[in-house]
Amino acid sequence: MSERHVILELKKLKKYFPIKRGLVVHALEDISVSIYEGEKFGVVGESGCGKSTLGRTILQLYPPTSGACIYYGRSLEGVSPACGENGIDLTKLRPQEMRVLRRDMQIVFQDPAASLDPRQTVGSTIEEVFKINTDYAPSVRKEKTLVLLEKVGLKREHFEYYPHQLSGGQKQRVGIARAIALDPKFVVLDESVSALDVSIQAQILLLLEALNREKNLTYFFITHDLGVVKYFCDRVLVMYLGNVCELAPSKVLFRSPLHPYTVSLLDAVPRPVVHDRAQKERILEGEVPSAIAPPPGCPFHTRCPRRMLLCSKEKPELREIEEGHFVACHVYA
Amino acid sequence: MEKILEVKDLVTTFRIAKREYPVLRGISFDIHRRETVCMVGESGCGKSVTALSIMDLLPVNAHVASGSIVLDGQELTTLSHRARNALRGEKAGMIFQEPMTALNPLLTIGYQLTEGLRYHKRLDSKTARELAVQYLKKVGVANPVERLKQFPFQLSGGLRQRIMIALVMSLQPSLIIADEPTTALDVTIQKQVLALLNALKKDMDAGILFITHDLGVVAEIADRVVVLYSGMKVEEGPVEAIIGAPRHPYTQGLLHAVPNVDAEDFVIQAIPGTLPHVTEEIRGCRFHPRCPYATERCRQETPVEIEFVPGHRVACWNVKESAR
Ligand SMILES: Nc1ncnc2c1ncn2[C@@H]1O[C@H](COP(=O)(O)OP(=O)(O)OP(=O)(O)O)[C@@H](O)[C@H]1O
Ligand SMILES: Nc1ncnc2c1ncn2[C@@H]1O[C@H](COP(=O)(O)OP(=O)(O)O)[C@@H](O)[C@H]1O
Ligand code: SF4
Ligand code: SF4
Ligand SMILES: [Mg+2]
Ligand SMILES: [Mg+2]
Repeated sequence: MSERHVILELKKLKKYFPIKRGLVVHALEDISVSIYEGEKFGVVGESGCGKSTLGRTILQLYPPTSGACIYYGRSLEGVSPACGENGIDLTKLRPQEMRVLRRDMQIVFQDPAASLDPRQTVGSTIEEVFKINTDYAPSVRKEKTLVLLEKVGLKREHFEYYPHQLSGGQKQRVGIARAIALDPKFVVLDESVSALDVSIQAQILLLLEALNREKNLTYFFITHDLGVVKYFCDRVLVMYLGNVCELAPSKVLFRSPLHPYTVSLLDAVPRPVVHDRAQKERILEGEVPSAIAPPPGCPFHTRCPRRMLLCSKEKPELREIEEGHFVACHVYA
Repeated sequence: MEKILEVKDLVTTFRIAKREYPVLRGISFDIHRRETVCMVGESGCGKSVTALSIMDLLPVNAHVASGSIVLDGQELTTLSHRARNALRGEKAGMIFQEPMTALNPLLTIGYQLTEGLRYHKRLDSKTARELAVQYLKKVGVANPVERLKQFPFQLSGGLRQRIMIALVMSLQPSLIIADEPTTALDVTIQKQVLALLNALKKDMDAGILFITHDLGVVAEIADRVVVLYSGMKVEEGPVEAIIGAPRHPYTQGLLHAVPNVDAEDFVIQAIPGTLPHVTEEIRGCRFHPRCPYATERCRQETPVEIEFVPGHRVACWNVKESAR
């Protein structure tokens, strides 16, 4: 990657879910970040921190509360650019305009079984995507489907299989085949390898890597597994309670994490190395506070080992500490 | 150290489409008092079935077909279900991945914690309540008296798992089986629970069978490790040997397939293929279709387990040959 093109730019993207009795879940707070074309962009954090909400809000599966998602992947007839020459603000599109962009922007979910129709063969599940979105002749659709099956490491014979005849890893391959059928540019992978066994997870990661190289696909890779992110992603966004803590190239983040939450998260990962258990370890105490009543100031201050007086009063801004390394913490102000 | 559990040649079968298929194909291992044995292997290899066989909690279409399970000197396989029911909780306690499946959603934490103490230990309500509070403190639950009044759904996953641990511990069983107890938890909460279990070990007089698929968790908690593949034990040894110098190609494969957060340029190596289905008969070593070292002998004969060095057992033709 010599010159990097931004494919997607999030500007102060916010998502609140109103729930009963006037309560509001603060799922995303003003997320601003740019994602480059062809990169494997990782998003990590503990459950409930807003990873899935972010992925879905980008794809406009959830309407954002405020903010913008500028997509630079293509121009649309009749839509005036939001930004620069060819940016489109996804949040401003009408449903039929967004439908055109759906071909560019796809999602693969965690549970491969739940996303497939048990009464449909693998072949017709994939063919359906062509049926809805293209005017290919039936023979062309079938041929394209067979090619896709091979591309994702399945056999042509699997065309006639039903989901219950497939393993979890094979089902996930079908999910990937569907997502890449229309040659998208941007794919959200929401815990797409998390439910798989380690050996199958490794197979799927290798497949995703090959597709990224071959098609210059951009991945928005959501996971809670730091080992996978380190191995797979070019850059990583660390989230806590709907906020960005840290954003950095993968290599930098794992070598020198700065945000106290990132440090705690990395500390907590169990390593396949036998160590002295009598030794006192740093353990992050407490639990994530409720997103309905997030704490004032820094969202992490209730658990932070480096908390200062200021932390409960003022929310730290996201600042660029060194090139490409962003941190939201008063320690680095 | 005294043996708490001796499992020998355990065969458990499932009835599928009117035929019996072995899911455990002759598994043997021991657990000593105050020892944590981790059982690892891919999904479907038989870890939970092993646990359920020991607890007599198998589904209706499954049963122990042969072999023996001796708990605290008592043979279990010849006992009636009723007798085994009475041992559950008191002699052997179980912690599940999702504590909601074990906790009754309609009863308070206090009721559930004291019920076992009143029934098994024949304590009066007041003493049982005091003991329950003590155990909640032991597992690091803040405001234990308040918690007794709450229902399971009012608590976080981490807290529910702590309560489950208190519940099982309070009956002082000889054996505790924990089936993926931290898998559903976030890493920071998992770390808290693993540290808690390690700290409690000194307090307990039990042996622990800890089931997990995460070799990082194994390194945190195990004394010894049993590796299962497709219903067979393929390797067993001290945690240092299994994590540091595994001998079986399957164990080695598991270690190389998981991206390591500390490695600088980790190269992921997928184990090709998938675990065979239980109904699938495979001649020779059951791992041979996926094994990079398979030879003609592997395709013909089932490998015999050897004790590679004392305490470290491997069932692989290749290991025997290289050791000679
Ligand atoms: N009720 C059942 N009927 C038929 N087969 C079953 C039944 N329950 C389990 N099995 C089979 O028994 C084998 C072992 O299952 P088991 O639940 O012990 O796996 P496991 O190692 O605990 O996996 P996981 O890591 O997914 O929990 C699997 O092949 C499974 O499909
Ligand atoms: N449809 C919804 N309605 C109300 N709250 C929601 C909804 N979806 C997610 N949330 C809440 O938003 C927050 C972020 O959730 P999510 O994005 O699913 O987290 P993650 O994917 O990081 O685990 C959580 O507090 C969650 O409970
Ligand atoms: S701002 Fe304060 S509380 Fe927040 S992470 Fe930094 S030191 Fe900790
Ligand atoms: S016995 Fe043969 S096939 Fe089986 S693990 Fe050893 S080398 Fe591989
Ligand atoms: Mg999610
Ligand atoms: Mg299981």
